[in-house]
Amino acid sequence: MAKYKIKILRDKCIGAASCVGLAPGAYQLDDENIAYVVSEEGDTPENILLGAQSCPTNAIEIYDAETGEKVWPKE
Amino acid sequence: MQKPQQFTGKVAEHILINNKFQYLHIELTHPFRLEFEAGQYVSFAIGGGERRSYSIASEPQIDSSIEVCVDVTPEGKGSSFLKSLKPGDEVSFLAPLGKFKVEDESKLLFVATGSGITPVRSMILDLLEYKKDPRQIQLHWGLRHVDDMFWVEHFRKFHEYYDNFTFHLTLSQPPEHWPLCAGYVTDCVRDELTLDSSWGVYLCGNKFMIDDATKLVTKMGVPPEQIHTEKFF
Repeated sequence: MAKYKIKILRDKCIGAASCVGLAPGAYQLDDENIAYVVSEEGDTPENILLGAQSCPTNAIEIYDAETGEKVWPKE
Repeated sequence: MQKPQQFTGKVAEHILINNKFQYLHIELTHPFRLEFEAGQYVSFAIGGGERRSYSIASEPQIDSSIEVCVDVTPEGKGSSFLKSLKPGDEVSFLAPLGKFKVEDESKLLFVATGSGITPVRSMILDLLEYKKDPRQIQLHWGLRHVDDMFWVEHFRKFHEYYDNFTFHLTLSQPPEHWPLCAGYVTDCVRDELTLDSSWGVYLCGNKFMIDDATKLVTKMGVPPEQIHTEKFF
């Protein structure tokens, strides 16, 4: 089971692709240059979290898959 | 291209250029080398589990350090963190990130506002000084006041030295008798340039400029896929 649930905020994504660089198995860009989730188990949990943390616009939200608690961005 | 990874570095130099912009030179301590492409950015850990992104101002040929230039006036967490750094302080960041890079169009137009010049400086240094790129290259840079000006002499010298490089500085709030372009940088592009589908356009700066310039160059015939933007400034 995936450690994290990933939510992409499409209206915030600017297609900078830092998430893709850090966790290409989890994130890719679609035809509109917006990030989407390939697989929540497509990379290590560390890389998936780093991919979200590196986003310059905080367009990726990460939740604990078990508890549903928001892990990133921190409120 | 190097996969993004964690780097640590030490602040070698920190200069408050003027009341608006600060410059940082960071020597890498681990790993010692960063392979990146001109236009890419780094994501600094600024404490409290937060990160902020800043474009690299230095050229890729210098791979043992990075330079960044940051607008301090928003006084947000990122710029305040960088402002607090002193020579010798350690920083950690993720790099290289982003895909704002020079492509293979026949002619290149760069339009920047404020510290949006940062990745553009890296691109222009790379193109002119190292790659000796023969393509026609135009830079339009918009600042607000005379007091905000920095790196201007640097670009003026390139303008004099390289036949294929033209530099236009625009001030939105110029002093009386300002001899160069005044107003919004996009208006100066409109007045001075005729573009077509052979141009690649690189936009970096405030959202208003990016939206305005995108509409303008699209109307002039530049295909959407040849309009490249860095929007997080």
